[in-house]
Amino acid sequence: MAKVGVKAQGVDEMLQHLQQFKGVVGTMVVNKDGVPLKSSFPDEKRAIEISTELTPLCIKAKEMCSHMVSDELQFVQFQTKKHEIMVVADPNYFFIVIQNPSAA
Amino acid sequence: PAAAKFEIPQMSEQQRREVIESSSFLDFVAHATHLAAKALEVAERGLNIRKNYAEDE
Repeated sequence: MAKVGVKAQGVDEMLQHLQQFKGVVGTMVVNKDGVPLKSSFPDEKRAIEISTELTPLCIKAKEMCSHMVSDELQFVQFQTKKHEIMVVADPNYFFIVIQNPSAA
Repeated sequence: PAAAKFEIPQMSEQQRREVIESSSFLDFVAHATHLAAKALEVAERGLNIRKNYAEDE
């Protein structure tokens, strides 16, 4: 039961694990309304800014998938010149990872 | 017209604690961490391929 093992490590450890990937700027989990529940960003204001920008976009993407293909959104990835923004979606939560892959 | 600014509702510390201790939250984070780790690995591989390609050029 790998899942139980991961759960036992705790959420902080799981987020910490992702921080070990090259260039990961921060990770956060928000609820479906955009309320930050857990964040690795040191600044709470920054976490709220990110959630305020990303949550409505992800809600829209969820609606679009539901209407267009009658399916449930699972993952969204934004690629910019310098960053990758990844969002894992669920009916109740969004898990956000921001990465700057070229950062040492 | 400009879109209305997205407002994040308030949540008390007690409510937040209840959510992050719920099994649905823990299950989601476990699942999402796994998926994000895979995506990060793929992104890193893609970056290496692009880097090698640029060096060859």
